[in-house]
Amino acid sequence: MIEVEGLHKVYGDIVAVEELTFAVGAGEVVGLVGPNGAGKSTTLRALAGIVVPTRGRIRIAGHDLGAAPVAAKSELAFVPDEPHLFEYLTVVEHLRFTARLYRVLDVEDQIPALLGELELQSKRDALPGELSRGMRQKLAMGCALLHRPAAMLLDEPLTGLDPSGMRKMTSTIRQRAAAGTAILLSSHLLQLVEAICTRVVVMRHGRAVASGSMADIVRERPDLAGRSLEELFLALVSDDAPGA
Amino acid sequence: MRSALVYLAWRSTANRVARQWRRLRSPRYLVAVLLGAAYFWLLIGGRRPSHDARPPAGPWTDVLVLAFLIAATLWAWLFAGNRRALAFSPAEVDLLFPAPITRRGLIQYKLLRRQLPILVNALLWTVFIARQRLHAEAVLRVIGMWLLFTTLSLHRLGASFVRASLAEQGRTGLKRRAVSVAVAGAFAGTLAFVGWDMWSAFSATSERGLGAALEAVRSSLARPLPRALLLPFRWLARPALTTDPPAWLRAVGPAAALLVAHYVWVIRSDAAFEEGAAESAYLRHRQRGRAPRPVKVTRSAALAATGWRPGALVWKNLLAFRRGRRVGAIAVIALILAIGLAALSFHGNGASAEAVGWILLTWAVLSVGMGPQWVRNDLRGDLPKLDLLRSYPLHGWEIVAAQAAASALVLTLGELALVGLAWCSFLGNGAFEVGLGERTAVLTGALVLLPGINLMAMAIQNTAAVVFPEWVRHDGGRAGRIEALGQSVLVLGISTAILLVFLAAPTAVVLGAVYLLRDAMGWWAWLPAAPVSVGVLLWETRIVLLRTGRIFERTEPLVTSPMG
Repeated sequence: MIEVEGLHKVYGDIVAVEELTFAVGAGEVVGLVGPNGAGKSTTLRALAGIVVPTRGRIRIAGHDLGAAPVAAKSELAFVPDEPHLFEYLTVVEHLRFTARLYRVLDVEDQIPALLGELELQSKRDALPGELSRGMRQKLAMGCALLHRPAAMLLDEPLTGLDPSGMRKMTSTIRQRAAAGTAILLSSHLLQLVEAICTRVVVMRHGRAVASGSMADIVRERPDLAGRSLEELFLALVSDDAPGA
Repeated sequence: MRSALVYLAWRSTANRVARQWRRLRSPRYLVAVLLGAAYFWLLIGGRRPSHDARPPAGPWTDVLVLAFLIAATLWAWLFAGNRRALAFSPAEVDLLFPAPITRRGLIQYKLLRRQLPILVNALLWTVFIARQRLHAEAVLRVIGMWLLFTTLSLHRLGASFVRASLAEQGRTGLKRRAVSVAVAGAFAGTLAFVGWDMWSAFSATSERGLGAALEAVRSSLARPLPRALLLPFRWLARPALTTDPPAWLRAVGPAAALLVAHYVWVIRSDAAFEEGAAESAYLRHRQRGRAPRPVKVTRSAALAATGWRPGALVWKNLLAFRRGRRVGAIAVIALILAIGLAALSFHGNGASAEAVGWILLTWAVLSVGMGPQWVRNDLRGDLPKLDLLRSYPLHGWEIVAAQAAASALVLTLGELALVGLAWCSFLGNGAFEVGLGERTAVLTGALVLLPGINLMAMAIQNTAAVVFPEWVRHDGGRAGRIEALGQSVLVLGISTAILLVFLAAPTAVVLGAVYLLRDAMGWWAWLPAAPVSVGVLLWETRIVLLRTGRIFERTEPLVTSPMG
């Protein structure tokens, strides 16, 4: 569903992402992890069609993002770490707006269920300025879920949520994956990544230094056997790590 | 601590200038700067350089300048937001407010930060008004402009403190600000009296025609009371309007005294502005370019899930415009005005309504050029959300077209309202040279032409936002100050020049068609000519939108929006 081949992105003299290759299949949740400045956000933004790759190929649900951007984006949903909402549209108007963009014909049927799932029923006519950070995050997620995308890109999806909201969001992500959506998730919350991701891609200085399931990574690095993802992550991205 | 604030102001300004300088490494910015410089050079070099270079003086110049100053003063007291006068950034709020700095120190810091834009604008206004090169006399005028803008800026700040104090502390605030309130009240009372006097002079002579009525108004300003009322404004304006060095030296004293008086007034205010300024700063930051005003959620027209996809953006922008302003109230006022003006046009020889009609028509014409600067519910407002826009399943040209269409629609409605009101003002005027039928023909032609012209004008503005995102003024950063108008005038001049280039072919078409059909149809020849002309204009607009769309698809949001 998400195929990345030789993704390379350069800003002036800075290489933000270097020859990155990976894929996320239908129903998979893949975690994109790495220290600050590793190139995770640039990768997600390139996959969302926001930044133009210097070279490389991205395919979303079989559509080449460079050659057929509209078709590729129609199958995609992107939830950034800072939810961007329109200040003069209410919660329910955001959903209707998104429905028009993605041609969601059953939007009126979906709205009650979606608002219930995101616990936003009482805020359906509220403007974003009246919502808390967590509610804004939920609304951005609601807009992303509305058109039942084939692929989802989530950048720090739990930011600003309370414990109950985190649990609900985690459950939503799992359900969507179970329904066949390919999900690429970037987060610093390694417990979350460990709990819901089937595989991880560990990035450092714009490159993938490890990828695969925990077992795959341990197979590559037997010295890391028995460690948690957090310990594994720290070992992989430390300056002493091989290839650093 | 004061040295730290000076350091902050100095380094912030120096880094900002350095950043703007570095931006010129980008060829598109460099070319734009060179074109801007060429335009500027033409502006001041169009005439032979003259040491005399006086501003365009006429019998009405003095009146216009005074009217402008009075309007600016009234605006400061009646409409300018209490909380926006001292515009702090969130970083300043977080770092400076908790620091051991006095209120006076914070105000002085903000006044210091304002000096660079004021100086730049004083320079620009000197060029715009007097078209002077920088010789000695021009320097005197720049100083005069600086005095004028700085005093107006201080007045706005002082007025905002008084208003905030009255709003938040009620009777206690009234006691604390008794002198300021008394002076403002006396001024308002005198102004109302003088206004009534002028209206009486106008009404008494309106039977003799508009020109005689306006002349009577001007004469009434020479009476003792109006002269006394206008004296501080004349003091303030004189150094900016005088080029003769001895006269300037005589004029600068009173103007400088006014500035010092304002500075003392503001510095001694000791207004508790922190809470309001902090709230305003965070609101501006959060809303990123939207008016920080509480919004009443009104019912929206339904948006179907089917139809032209970019229509969602048009719907969103129109909704934002409607919710950001009291559109319903404005429509009701316009309707009442239309009825009132139509009735007034039948009264006497209709001179009063005619005067209003000409003002309305002037505004309608001005809004064709300036409207695209005022109506900004398009890509210019949405630039901070470029990430979001680019993730939508839409082509670049579709996004730009939808954004431009929303603004063009709003502007067209406003212009048509002005033209319609003007039509009502001339309705009963039998002495008017152009008959009712011809006027109706022109109004109908405007109905057809204006949407096309406005769409092109907005396409140009949105193209500028895409090509030069770092130069786009975000409304959130706008302090609405008079002294910042100079930059807007420069932008206005350049964008109007581009619009005129695109209008050349459609204008030739419309004039040609009118010429060919005039014998058969008279003024009604406008009607078939206008759609043909609009067709040409739309073809040009399509080319602009397609090209801008391609640039939009290649634009890197990292450059425009640091949020990603």
